Amino acid sequence: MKYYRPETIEEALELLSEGVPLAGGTALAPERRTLEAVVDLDRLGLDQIEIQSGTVRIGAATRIQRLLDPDFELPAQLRRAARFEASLNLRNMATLGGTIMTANARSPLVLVLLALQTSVSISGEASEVPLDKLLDNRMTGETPFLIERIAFALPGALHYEYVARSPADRPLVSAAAVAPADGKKYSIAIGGYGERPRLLDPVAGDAVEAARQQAARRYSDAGDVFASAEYRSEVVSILVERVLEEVQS
Amino acid sequence: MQIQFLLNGEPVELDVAGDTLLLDALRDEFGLFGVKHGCETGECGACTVLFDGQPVNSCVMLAAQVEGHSITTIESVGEHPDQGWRSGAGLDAVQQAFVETGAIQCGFCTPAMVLAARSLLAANPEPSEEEVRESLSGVLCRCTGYIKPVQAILRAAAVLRGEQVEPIDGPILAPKDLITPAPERESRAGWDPGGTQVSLETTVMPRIQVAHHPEPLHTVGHPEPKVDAVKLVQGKPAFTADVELRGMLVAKILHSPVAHARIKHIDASKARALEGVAAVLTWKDIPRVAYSTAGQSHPIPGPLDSFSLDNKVRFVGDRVAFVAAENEAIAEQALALIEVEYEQLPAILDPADALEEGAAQIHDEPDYVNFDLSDPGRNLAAKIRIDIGEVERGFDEADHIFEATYEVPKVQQAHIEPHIAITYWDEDDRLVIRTSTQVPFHARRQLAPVLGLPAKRIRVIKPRIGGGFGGKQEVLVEDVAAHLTIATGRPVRIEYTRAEEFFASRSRHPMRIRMKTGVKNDGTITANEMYALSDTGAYGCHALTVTGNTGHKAMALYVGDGEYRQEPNIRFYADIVYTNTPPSGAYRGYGVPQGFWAVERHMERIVRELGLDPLEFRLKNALRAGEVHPFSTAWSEGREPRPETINTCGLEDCAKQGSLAIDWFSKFNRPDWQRVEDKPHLRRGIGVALVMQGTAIPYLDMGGASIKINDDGSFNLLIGATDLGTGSDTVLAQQAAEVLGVPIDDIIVYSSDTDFTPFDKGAYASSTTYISGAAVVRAARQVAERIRARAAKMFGEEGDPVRPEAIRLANKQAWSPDGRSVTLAEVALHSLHQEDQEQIMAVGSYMSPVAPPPFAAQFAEVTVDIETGQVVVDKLVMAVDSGIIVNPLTASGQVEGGMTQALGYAVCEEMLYDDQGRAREVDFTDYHIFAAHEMPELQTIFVETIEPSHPFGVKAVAEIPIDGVAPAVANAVMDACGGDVLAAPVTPERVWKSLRS
Repeated sequence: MKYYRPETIEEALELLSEGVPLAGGTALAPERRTLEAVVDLDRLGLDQIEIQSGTVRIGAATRIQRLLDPDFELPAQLRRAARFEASLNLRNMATLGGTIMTANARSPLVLVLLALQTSVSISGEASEVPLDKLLDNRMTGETPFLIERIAFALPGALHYEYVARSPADRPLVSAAAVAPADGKKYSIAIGGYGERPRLLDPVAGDAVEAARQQAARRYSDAGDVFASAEYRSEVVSILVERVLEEVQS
Repeated sequence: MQIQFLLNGEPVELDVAGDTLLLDALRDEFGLFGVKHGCETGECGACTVLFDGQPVNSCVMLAAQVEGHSITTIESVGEHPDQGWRSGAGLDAVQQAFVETGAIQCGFCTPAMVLAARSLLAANPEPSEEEVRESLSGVLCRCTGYIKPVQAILRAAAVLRGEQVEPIDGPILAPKDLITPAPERESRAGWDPGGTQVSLETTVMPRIQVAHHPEPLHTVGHPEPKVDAVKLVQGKPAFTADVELRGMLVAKILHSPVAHARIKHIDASKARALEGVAAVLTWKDIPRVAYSTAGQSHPIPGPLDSFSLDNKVRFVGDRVAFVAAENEAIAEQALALIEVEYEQLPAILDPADALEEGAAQIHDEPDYVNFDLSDPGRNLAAKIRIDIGEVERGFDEADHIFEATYEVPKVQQAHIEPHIAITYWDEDDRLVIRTSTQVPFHARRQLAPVLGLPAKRIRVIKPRIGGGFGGKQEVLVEDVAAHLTIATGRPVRIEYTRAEEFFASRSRHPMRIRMKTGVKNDGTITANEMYALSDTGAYGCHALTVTGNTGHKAMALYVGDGEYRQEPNIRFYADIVYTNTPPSGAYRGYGVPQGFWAVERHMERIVRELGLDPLEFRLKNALRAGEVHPFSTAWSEGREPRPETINTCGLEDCAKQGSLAIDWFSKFNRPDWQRVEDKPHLRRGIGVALVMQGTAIPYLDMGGASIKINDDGSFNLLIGATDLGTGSDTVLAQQAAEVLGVPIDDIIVYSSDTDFTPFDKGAYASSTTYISGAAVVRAARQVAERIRARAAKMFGEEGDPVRPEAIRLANKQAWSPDGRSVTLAEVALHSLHQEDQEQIMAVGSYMSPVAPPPFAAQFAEVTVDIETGQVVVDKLVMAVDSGIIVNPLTASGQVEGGMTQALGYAVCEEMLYDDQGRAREVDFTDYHIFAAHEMPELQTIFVETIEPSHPFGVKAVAEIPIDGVAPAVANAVMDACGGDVLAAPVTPERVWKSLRS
């Protein structure tokens, strides 16, 4: 396996025709024997966190642990989700971009980012891509791409709830809700089942029952070895109600 | 490629391949063996290093990624305080605190914890307990339960701030009638774990209700630091993997992808032709010898149904071929080049199908060797039928009959050090097997025929062990390396991956258990019946004995009351069946946790149904001191049973101490306490389970010890007993030190090596402190006798004669009644150099005619979300009668760690298979074990009794902590909300379902 350490984004983009992007390496290192080449993104300077006029921009190579850094006033529930994303040792290496690319529906952090209507900047693309869309397309593209940063608006309120077998276990069912700063519709994401967390259609503040039903419907077939669809479908609706009530209060 | 980085403060250069992991580079290129391999996915954290000062996992980092960065390993931290003429800096404050607080058990994860702690304290000199727990969240420990490591770090922080810390000396006394409840912590129902208060006290000692030993004890009963702590805290190369041998090959196993098949065709020619491959072995290449992988005494109490390699595979993960190659990558490539054609056979995945008429026969080989009632034609590895008293009459006399079926899952031992063995021919052409085993002597005896070598040409060395918990009471990988050394003449190393630990190792037997109990209106049990369908998987290792203990211990506890107590009516039947799943085997508790899940859930349901008091009902019917162990006349691990009387039983006091500590009486069944303010969906509950275990196998288990004196009055203690992190070397040294009147650091302990140490059956059946301890005392008493004789001679040469029996050994000296003394160093020099020279030395061994049961009361407090079924365990309290406690730190460490493993069994650990027999869990993401930052509060209380069959009055402590947590948690859930879960673990969905039904 070849290992490249480009110093600029241009250089990195060129090398990506040969190999896959290596962020923290926590997901990729175990696969090293199946790879031709890796392109280490460590030196591209993609690890900045900026909060400006209500918008948060975070570089894709930012280590997860930095989201917990008290210097950055990120929403407490985002930090909570980041904390439950992985253990401290993994958070010290794993990056935001790598997590987005490898996470499944049991990821607390990606669930919360989804509820925050996060958008993603990809090198060479003129406009930002919604995280929701990227999660669908992340593994299907023929050519490797480079996530530079993500962005989301600071929410009016954000809450995350989950059910797991133990406090630090991966969630069986989870939900996050965001009350947007402009007070219009609420954004809700649900997780625990499948390849990725899902966004519900945005709901009005008084439409708790509709949101519950929407979540239950979404998970009506969400059965796997860890929980039945019947269970997930009901519990996700309970969690949706709880996170909505929490962000409304 | 060339990389440059700072390693332990020094600039270094390294030429590495792009795909080299940092872990491998540090171990292989720099010889830094303090960095451990525990998994390949970064979940266990044993491979922790500091990367620019922050803890990271070197198993999921490429070496190339450290270019320009700084890496710190444990080797840069501290040193032994005694460096001879050079004055050394000694241990670092964190290391010192780990040693003092008993934070080290197997020590495999200790370097990682020390590094994580140093990283924390460098940034935060005054951390809260929550912050300490968070700093350890990346390091999984299967031994300690995290209390002592957390306390060690808080203590080190105080020391580094220049504060005084209290000495760790006496236990916290728990007077029989005067115990105050432990201070309340805030309920953790809100998920975010941990408290926020800074703790400056080092709270690592258990409470002890003391039984005063007739003689004053000086070392026994004291919290001596572990004898191996100083080396383990420095990450010294003490484990099996930590050696370099020139030309050592890496072995890998080709595992079956199918659950049940005949190998129609196998061709390894392409693999053999690959450059760098030294050998490939298939079933055609090695002798076919039927054996058992269960490490047990001769004769093996189970069928001989395993072969190193066979022309049939019986589970996904079974062995197909062995490869030895120059490195791991080549070995893996070679595996892919082996061509195998399988003729698939119908697979049995559900144990209930195994006994069906017309079921596929898993063991149809003609060379299968039966044991007792095993019947491979019916897929029966073993069968048990025990009737005590008149069970049917007991049911007839009952006012109520309760029947129900309970279920327990397959679970993994999950020792952080995987199975590993290194084999080589020594200069005498004897085969050396350096292995992480609980049973070095059994391994040698059992491997000899498999390898075609007499036992005398095999030497088994057991270095430090990174946890075993029964998983290494198995001769699991040694034969693979040994066959390949025989084939190649070269040293061979085999080490399991974490995935292999899950799909190709051993586990706890899953069981379905049917209970039937007769009870009178007054709560007297009139008859108790259990039927267990136990799934041994593809091979019958430990099949009979594990399931036998399910009945032997769990069904012995409740004998009934009144006339029924005199002649209990108990029935225990079991069928232990083969299925096409990975074999079950030995796991701490050895069948007993399975039994107590059923028994204690059943008792709770009876209590609730009849409106009885849970503690009163249990104690009314429980076994008491002076009574005969009901199973002792019926069954003894497949050997001849002989009656055994229970000499000591502290169960009632355990129930009392535990209930006071958890404040049972103001919580049980109290709606005002059960409700959580402002959280209408939450309910608190409290539950109990009483349990018993055994101490060794009577008339069978034997341990040996030898002790010799050195010129300076120190002693070498050589024991075959196998310390796998439990602290057994330490408690054995304490017993020797007590008899010889020396401090523990004058006892140099070595375990184990089949060439040098006396035989010991190994570390299992909760036997070492008791059996091997009695052997040590016997050897020490003989040595003490020789010392007294020599001292008497020396006193007589210079003054009035003294009778040897009157001489007392204390403070490293021999004292005459008139106050004269000679030092043991003088005694040693006199005996070795000066007159009538002799080596003062003795061997002792011990076998016990009894297996005195420890007893315990396990309490659990939970918060249940009645809408989602989620259970948070808030607190576990265990009060244990383990006889006299030799070392309160190591003993409470056993209880804390045992409860933590059992907590996983209670709520989250479970191994499941798909319809093709493929494992669902192959890593620590899906198979979740508890981490430091999500632990409930744990409390340990010892209720001492003085067991007369041991010189210091000890009973076992190792296994009993794992028996009661799961039923106590489920019973607490029942108390909280009525949820009645019959199948462990108590998952959110199971609670939710039971609340809806």
